[in-house]
Amino acid sequence: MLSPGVQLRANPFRMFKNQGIGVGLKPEYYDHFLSGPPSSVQWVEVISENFLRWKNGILASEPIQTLEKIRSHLPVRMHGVSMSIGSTDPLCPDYFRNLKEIVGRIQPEIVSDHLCWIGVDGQNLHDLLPLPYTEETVKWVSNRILQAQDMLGRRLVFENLSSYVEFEQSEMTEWEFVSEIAKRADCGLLLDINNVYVSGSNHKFNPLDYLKNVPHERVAQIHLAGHSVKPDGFLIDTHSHPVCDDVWKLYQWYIQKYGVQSTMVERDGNLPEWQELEAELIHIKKIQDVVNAREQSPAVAATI
Amino acid sequence: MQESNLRLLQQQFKNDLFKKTSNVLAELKNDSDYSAARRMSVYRGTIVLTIEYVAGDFSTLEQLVGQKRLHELIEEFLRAEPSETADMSDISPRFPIYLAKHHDRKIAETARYDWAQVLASTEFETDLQHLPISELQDLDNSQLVLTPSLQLFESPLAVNKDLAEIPTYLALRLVDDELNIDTLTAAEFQILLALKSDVTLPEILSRLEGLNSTEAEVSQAFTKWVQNGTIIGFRIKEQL
Repeated sequence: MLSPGVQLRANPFRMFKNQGIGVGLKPEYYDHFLSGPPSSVQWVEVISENFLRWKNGILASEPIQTLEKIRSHLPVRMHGVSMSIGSTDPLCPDYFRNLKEIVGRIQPEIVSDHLCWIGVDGQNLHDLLPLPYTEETVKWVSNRILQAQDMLGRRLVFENLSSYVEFEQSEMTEWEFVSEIAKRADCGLLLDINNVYVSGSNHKFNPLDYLKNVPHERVAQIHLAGHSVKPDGFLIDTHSHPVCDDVWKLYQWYIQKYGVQSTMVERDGNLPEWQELEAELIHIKKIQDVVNAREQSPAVAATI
Repeated sequence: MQESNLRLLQQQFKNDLFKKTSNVLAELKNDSDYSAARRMSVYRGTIVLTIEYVAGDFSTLEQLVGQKRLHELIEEFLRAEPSETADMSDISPRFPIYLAKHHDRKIAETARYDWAQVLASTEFETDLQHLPISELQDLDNSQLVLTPSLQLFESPLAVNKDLAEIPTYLALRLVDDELNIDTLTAAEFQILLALKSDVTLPEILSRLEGLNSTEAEVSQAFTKWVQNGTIIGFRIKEQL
């Protein structure tokens, strides 16, 4: 058990509570959750778009009912991929109306999306696309987040992207860009450490510089995931492999330095058996135990 | 940078993804390890994945025109009538309608057949209302109706075999004939949906439960098509 001092150290000034360990829930794993959650999981994250009204405004009843059953056992966090907060198209009222309806029904702990754009001129490109890191983009995006938060009536959380290009016109680093938007929009940050690692490798920056300089008090959640390595060494954020050793090390470094926060593993491709995925959740717990033990006693930690 | 510059950048980015004229590469940083073009290819890869995702719903059309041409048709469609939402399942139903507007009827209706197959495999209760008939009928002055004939892939003699043995060998080709989507019986429609996959007569009949179609009706429909020449016995690729 942590001493009160350690508890305080672990969560000194955060805007979002630590809910423990979660997982990105896929239909393939529903059976493990419907009759009660596995002990390794304290919350789940679902993709918001899988529960919205798309076709003819009809809400698919089976997915939402399944989610409600799971919600009766576990906290749910909703993670979107199509808010397109960085687009220069107007925010889509239908999307927000639909999202608000589902949010009202599921009552998720967190509603998040990505700091990106996904389309322009009314065209959805089905990808999370990067922005130039400029003052004007910061202003544009933070104003849009404020609007989005007003429409949904709650604080939103935005995830840092993995990116593959950088724009010549960028005036600041990605972590400066992310931090400035989070502060101006008064929103939360979903810190994806794999994305930091992938972008760091592709753009030749030190991931620790990134992790040191985000607004830690705004970190609502941490994502861990695997990536693919192309033959030329380029990294692609595919979520189709286990979390790599370097990302585990970065995670341990981050929570050692800034405290434990809600953490989950994302897996969207090459889905393994549940037990294999669960092993990664157990590994998160092990790292957190090491960090907590070091807080209490470096000597004890050495035995873990 | 003004908002309009960000918009211009996003439009250039989008155009580059669809291989339209674009200056976006000049806006990207190059380095000694990875060129701007290499970096953009990652995003281009998502478009390719989208095309492959849609192509997976149109296997008969792929047999008809080949993979390369099918991918070209899908990309042309995505450029002309892009997705407006994140719902990728919204793409395939619109593809046959686009083809009917802009391409050969054979291609368009083969795509419609493929989409009907997808619906039949995913929605047990498939009925005529799932086909996008109304949009097709509104396109022009020609009478656009589902005019399928059934074609034997392997053996012209298959039409003389027992009905239960036949479906394995059948695929759909579209030629002008007397079949009209509006006048198809439930039994006829179920045969059309079932023919391309390895579905036997008892399975067809099981699908007809609740539709008040009997084995006799199915046999009658099939016999009628054989007799009036709707079923033609040669390979589709040889014919083309």
